[in-house]
Amino acid sequence: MNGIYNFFNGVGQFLSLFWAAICSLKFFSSSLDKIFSQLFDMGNRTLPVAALISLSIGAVLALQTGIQLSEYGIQDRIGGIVGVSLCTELAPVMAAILMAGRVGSSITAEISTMSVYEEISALKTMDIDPVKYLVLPRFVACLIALPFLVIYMDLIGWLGGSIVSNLNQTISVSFTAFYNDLSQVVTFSDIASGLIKSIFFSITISITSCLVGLTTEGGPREIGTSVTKSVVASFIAILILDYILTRFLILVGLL
Amino acid sequence: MENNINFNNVSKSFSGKVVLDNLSHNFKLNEVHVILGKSGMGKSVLLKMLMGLMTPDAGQILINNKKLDDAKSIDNLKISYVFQFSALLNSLSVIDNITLYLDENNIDSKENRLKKAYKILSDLGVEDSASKIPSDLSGGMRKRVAIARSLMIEPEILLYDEPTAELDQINTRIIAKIINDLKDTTNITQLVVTHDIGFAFAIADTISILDEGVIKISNNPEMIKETNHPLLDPIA
Repeated sequence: MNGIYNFFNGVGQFLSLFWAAICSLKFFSSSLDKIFSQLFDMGNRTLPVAALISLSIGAVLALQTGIQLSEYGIQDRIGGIVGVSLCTELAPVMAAILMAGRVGSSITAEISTMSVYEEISALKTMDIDPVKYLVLPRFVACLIALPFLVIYMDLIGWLGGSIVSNLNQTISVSFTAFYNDLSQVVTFSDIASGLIKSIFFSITISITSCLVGLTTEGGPREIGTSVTKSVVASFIAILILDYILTRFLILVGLL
Repeated sequence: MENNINFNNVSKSFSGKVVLDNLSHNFKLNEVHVILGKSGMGKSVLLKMLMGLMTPDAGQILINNKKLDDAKSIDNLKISYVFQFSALLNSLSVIDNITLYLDENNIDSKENRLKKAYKILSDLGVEDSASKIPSDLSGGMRKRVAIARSLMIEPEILLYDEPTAELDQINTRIIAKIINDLKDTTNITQLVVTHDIGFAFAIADTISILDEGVIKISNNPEMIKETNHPLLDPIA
């Protein structure tokens, strides 16, 4: 019973903070410096790892699928399979998981430290709204960063797939054949569906990590607990949301 | 009618534990009022309710006979708070911490904000730390910077939560001097909660003893000494 109460209480707090973040968008222009600073920080934290992950996923996907396809002599269809898999599912989900792990955890750690050491209360005593000062820049930066990260991972993943398809002697598909098939199969709606997912994921990650940080109480020990809680909650929410969004995108004909 | 802060039957409990129990008390404005009490007696809770960081379970807080929120909005009453562990933002330099209130609320020009901030830092003897990060400062300096940040708001009421916590005797004397200087040169009402009895007697116009959720005694320091309250034993 307590678990059900906590779940709905958490959902309520999430929606309330999300709404507060939306309302604070009117301060967008005066928060530009903080938003850019957050964007820069997010880019620094995620781009190198994102490149490594997407290159590896694209390569492994091409290797496993390409060998199977070559048994039927249709390995020249590998470009489309790698292209669609990456941009509709793998890149958005992996980018979101990476963002939750690298950026979300850091947001929670920073804000929960501020909560524990009464820095958030200090902001309130100075008539500074913590949502405007802390949540808005992270919310907007995440909203901008994640779709770009997905496109970045799409491109690098396709590159990884094309390299393996070209170099592996069993598959042996040229770069031109790989990208020809990819361009014929991957549609704008495939890419758009990945970007739509990333927008929902970014809202989930930024609001969850800020919320857990802002509601942290107790001593320094709670900071670690909050970071774990935030990352686990974001992972679970991303996976559940991914299924719901996929169903929805199929329903509206985008997938 | 005399200007005052009036706690009217205020109660507050946490997880069933009563911290403030139907507390009623008048604090005069424009003086240094020290609230003495053992740890965990609700001294900080009292200040946080006055700051608006906590709400009473029952009762009300009036300032000059207006409800706290009305006094803040109608009279533009400014209340500032010096936190027990300073609560400076470690992601900002000292000077950015000091100007934060003015920066975020778009008050005055950048040049004037800095001028004002350096003047206050200089008055408190910490102007050399302006470019440092708060975590690089000693406890005493952090406390002075926290007071400087509170003064930037130009408060009418300044609340101090255990201002000498974790400070040595020299820094305690510096903080006492700052409070006494503010008393002599401004009309700021200063409410200080502490369990440091010597410090309390060094700064107070009035001392109140908070015990078991209510204010048991309140008087000037001389009269308080004569009460022989058990809490004052260490200075006997």
